[in-house]
This record gives sequence, C-alpha cells and structure tokens, in this order.
Amino acid sequence: MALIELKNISKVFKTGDSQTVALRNVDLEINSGEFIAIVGPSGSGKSTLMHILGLLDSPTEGSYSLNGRSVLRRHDSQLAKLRRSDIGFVFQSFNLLPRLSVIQNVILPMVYAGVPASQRKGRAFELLTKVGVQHRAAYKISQISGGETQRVAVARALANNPSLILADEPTGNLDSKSSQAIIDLLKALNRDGNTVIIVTHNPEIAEQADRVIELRDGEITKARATVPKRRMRELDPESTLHGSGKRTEQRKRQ
Amino acid sequence: MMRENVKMAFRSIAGAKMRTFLTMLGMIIGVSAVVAINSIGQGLKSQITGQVNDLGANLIFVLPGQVVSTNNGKQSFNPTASIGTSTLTTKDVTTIEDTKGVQKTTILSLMSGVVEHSGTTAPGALLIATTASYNQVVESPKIDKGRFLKSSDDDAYVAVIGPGARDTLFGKDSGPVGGKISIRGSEFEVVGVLGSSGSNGSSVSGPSLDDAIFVSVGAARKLTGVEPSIFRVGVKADNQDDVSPTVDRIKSALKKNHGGQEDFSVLTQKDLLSTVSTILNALTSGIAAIAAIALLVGGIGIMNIMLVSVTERTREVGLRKALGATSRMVLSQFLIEAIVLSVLGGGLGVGLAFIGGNLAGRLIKITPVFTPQIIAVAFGISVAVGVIFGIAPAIKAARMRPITALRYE
Repeated sequence: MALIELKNISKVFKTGDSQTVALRNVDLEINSGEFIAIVGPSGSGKSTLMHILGLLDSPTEGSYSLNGRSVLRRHDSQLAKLRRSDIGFVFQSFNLLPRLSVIQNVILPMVYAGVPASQRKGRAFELLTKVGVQHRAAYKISQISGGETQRVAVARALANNPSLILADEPTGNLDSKSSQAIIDLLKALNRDGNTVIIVTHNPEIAEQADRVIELRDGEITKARATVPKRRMRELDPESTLHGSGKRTEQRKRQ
Repeated sequence: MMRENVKMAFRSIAGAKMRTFLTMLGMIIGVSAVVAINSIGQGLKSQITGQVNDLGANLIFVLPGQVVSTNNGKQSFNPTASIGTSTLTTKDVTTIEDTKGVQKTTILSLMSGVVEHSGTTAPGALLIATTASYNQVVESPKIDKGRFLKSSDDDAYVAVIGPGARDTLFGKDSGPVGGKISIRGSEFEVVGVLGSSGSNGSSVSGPSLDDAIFVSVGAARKLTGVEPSIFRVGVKADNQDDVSPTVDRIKSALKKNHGGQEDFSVLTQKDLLSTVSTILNALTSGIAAIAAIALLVGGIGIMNIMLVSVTERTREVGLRKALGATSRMVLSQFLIEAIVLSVLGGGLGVGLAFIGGNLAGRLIKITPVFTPQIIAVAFGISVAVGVIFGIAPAIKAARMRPITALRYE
C-alpha cells in the first residue's frame, strides 16, 4: 500500500474576482522509503503541492490518503495530531522560533505530541547529534549559521519520528557547501528508511533523488526515475505514477 | 499541557524583552497615573472634610458678601464675594449675639504686616485679630502651652501663635511663651501656643491655622489706628439640633440691619462641607478625566505594541500549528502570556502609584488616600486591554490555515 495517495487534486486560489489555478487534477502515489524530488519553474504549484502533502493547506478538490487513511476535511485537532505524528516539515526560511534555544526548538513538537518531559531532552540531543549540531544545543537560533539552522530544522522535523519528511526548498537560503551537506543528511535519513520529499529547482539536487516529478502550470508533466545513479534495490518496485504500471515499463526499457 | 503552556508563555515573555517592556510600560503609566492622581484628590478631600469637621458641629459662620447664590434652582459658589470691604459691622455682631439660639460669638479680622523675631520673619504667617471668645466658639485647635487671649487683655500687645509660626520664628520645640515678637514694628508678648490643627496648609487647601498669629481686636485697632474690617463672625449655637432655625433667625435679623438686602452669608458646617465637596468633586472629576486620558494613552500604547507584533505572532501561530499544535494549545499559551503580562504590568502600575502618590503627597503636604475601587477600575481596564489585544491576533491567526498564518505579511 502506498504511503501517499493523491487523486485528482486541484487547488484554486481566489483573490477578488480572479482565480489562479495552482494545481490541476494531480494524481500521485508515493511509497514508503522513497526519495522524491519535485521540480518545476516558480509558480508551477510545487510549493502548494508540498503544503497540501504536509496538511498545512487543503485542496479545493480531490482526495488524499496518508497511510491508508483519508486526511482531508478533518477537524483542526485531528489535523494537528497528524501533523505532529506523521509529518516532519523543513522550510526554506527555516521557520525556527528565534527566541528559543536550539534544543527548545527541537523539543517543541515533542511537547505538542505529549512526549513525557523526562524523555524530551535526551531525544532532542540524540537528534541534534544525528544532524551534527549537538555542540550548539544551548545556543539561540540567531547565534548559529544558516547551514546549522537548517540542520536544527531537520532535527526538529525528526522529533516525533514521522513517516514522512517534507522539505520545501531546504537549500534555497544556503550556500552550495551547506546545501550539499543538508542533501547528504536527507539522503542518509532516507537510507535509514525515512520517506523524503523535497521541492527544489536545483537540477543537481534533483538528480540525487530516486524519482523526479516535474510540475508545470499545476500539472505533472514529467515523472522519471533517476535509476542509473542509484542502485536498483533502493527503488520500491511497487512505486507507481498515476496508479498504472508505467513506471515498471520505464524501468524495463532501461 | 497546562503546565507546558505556562512554561511556554513565560519563555515567550522572557524571550521578547523589548515587547514585554513596552507593553508593560503602557500598563504601568496608565494604571499608576490614574491611581496616584486619584489618591491625591481623595487625600485632599478627606483632609478638608476633616478640617471642617474638627471645628465643631454647632458652629455657624457669618460671612460678608453673598457667597452662595441660588439662581433658577442652580446653586453657585463665589468665594471672592467675602473678600474686600466688609458688609458686616459691629452692630451686626451685637444683633447676632442677641438672636435666640446663639450662645457665643467671635469675630475674625485679617491683618497684614511683617512678623519678626530677632531678625527672622515669618512670611507665611496669618495675622488674625479676634476676641477672647474665639477659643470657645471655634473648638479646634486647642491651646497647647500658655493661654488664649483674655478679655482683660483689652488692647494689650499680646499674641497667641500657632505651632507653624512658632517653628518658623523660634525654631522647633522651643517654649516661646513669654518671648517677644514684633508685628508691624511693635513688640508683642507671646502668651500662648496653639496645638497643631492636624492638617497642613497647602497651595490647594489654603493656609493652615498652624501658621496663625492671633491678637486681640483692641490691639489691632491700636496698632493700625482703624477699626478692623470683619472677615468672619463665628457663632456657636446653643444646641446642635437647633442650628438650622438659628441660621434662619440670624438671616432675617441681619437682613433688617442691611435694609432687606442679603449681602452676607450664613453658613453652617454642613453648608461648608457641601460647598467644599461640590468644588472638590468637580476638581476630582477633572483630575479623573486627565487620569482617564493617561489610561487611554497607556491602553493605546499596549494596543500599538501588540499590533506591531501581529505579523510575528501570526507567523508564530502558523508555525506552532505546522509543528502539530492544536488551535486550543496555541490560544491557551497566548492567553496565559497576555494575562501574565497584563497582571504584572498592572500590578507594577499599582505599586508605582503607591510610591508616586506618597511622594507627591509629601511634596504638597497631602496624605494620599487609595480607594480600592479606583485601583480595581484602573487595573481592570488595563488588564482587559492587554488581554484583548494580546489574544485577538492569536484568535485570528489560529482560524487561518497554517500556511496562511505562516506566510502572513
């Protein structure tokens, strides 16, 4: 069973009399353990897709099931519960609380998830060690570098051990060295079994994913596996696009 | 979760020091201004009320000029009517003395002149020419050392001084009975010192009897060469319950003397109190209006700083929701934060009002009176403003989709 199943997702933004179609009839299936890159020019709807996947926004039409459960049109508290237990979000602009310390930021999702206070610090420190910024635990967010900030954000995304990590242009505000470090980190997480979806418009980064989904004007125009660069076993053979066997055919040809 | 919210609220308050400071500043200024100003007004009122009450319940004052006039049912008070050339004569005093219900009378005449003791002058001294009966008509203040004027003093140059004048002329705690002072160049012997009137003179309530120097009418006549002009006639009624009819009888008797004209005023303690209260109430409402402006300005300050941080706070709500907080979790955190901030600010404001009120009171010699009502009102309004404007943006943000709040500009 697919981790994520989007069917016929559309998103229309209304401002006054004008309508903007951000997403048009998007079908998408993502399996557990995949590393997906969503690419496309700005305004193509990739961020909107990301926000819908992360339950930060709701589509105008369509259905979305996560872990086999439909997650649309749910009550605020149910959505909040899904967000904190199933999804870890990494933003382009970091979105950490500047007035809190590094470790407090990582602890925050645990507080909302009801993790006992005695376990939080230890787990947060573990996560900070995992992303390599344990030496900054007591620092204020404003006192650490951009690369380190994004590492903290990744640690925060992992706080409640989510089944899905969403990264919306995680390297958009970083230099190339820090960017590659973040991507390496996400790849490592993926190797450990986490499902990772990133939005990027850096082709080099996109090439490092298992699968690239290209959006243009709110529609998926191209989806391709980047198999040659990865070992075959890392791809889930069940992974499909538009729910058909297209993907398997593609791979056979290769 | 409640404990977590309290913790988060305190962390947020401590984290945003500038915002916390500015918000609380608004509360502190608003609350302290209202409470302090009101305490001074109340202090003034109770001081004057106390002064008037001390004089005795069956005391009546006759004043030259129509001080209180009633036109079309509207009472107006004109204290300047009693200043200037007096309309009261010694014949009036005799008439009053003969009126039924009157036990004793005394007259008060104001004099001007330099009072001196071995080179020290008392510029604040209140020179009063009166009769020996003054001490029996006006019950306060009582004599502290020596004696009051006697009728046998006649036109002898003797004086009774208040404790304030004693302190100025002779220095504190000295016993000047038998000492000599010079009034308008003539030597007077101090025969008595009055006790404190229990209230200090102030720029608002007028000079205090503590600074009074009493001489006999005879001495004043001899010293100035003219008959002293009558400033007040003090009347003691036989009976406390008979004050009101006695006033009416005095009025009609004097009217006859004055050819039917009521160019004088007969006031009782009650009248004095009600007139004073009318003035003081007007004064207090005026002051309250000014204080209300301070509260308003403080409130606007609070609103401003809260509105300035709306963008930041809206994003914070969005982010916290994106991280899995429910709207209720975020709102209760913000609510606790606003309450803590407002109560702290309001409390500091009340504290500052106590300090400021007492300091200002000491400066103008009024004991401030803090009423719980005004503290409750000022504190309540400022806390309400703080909480409403602290929580309103959060309520709005919590209703948005997380991404809308997160990207709010």
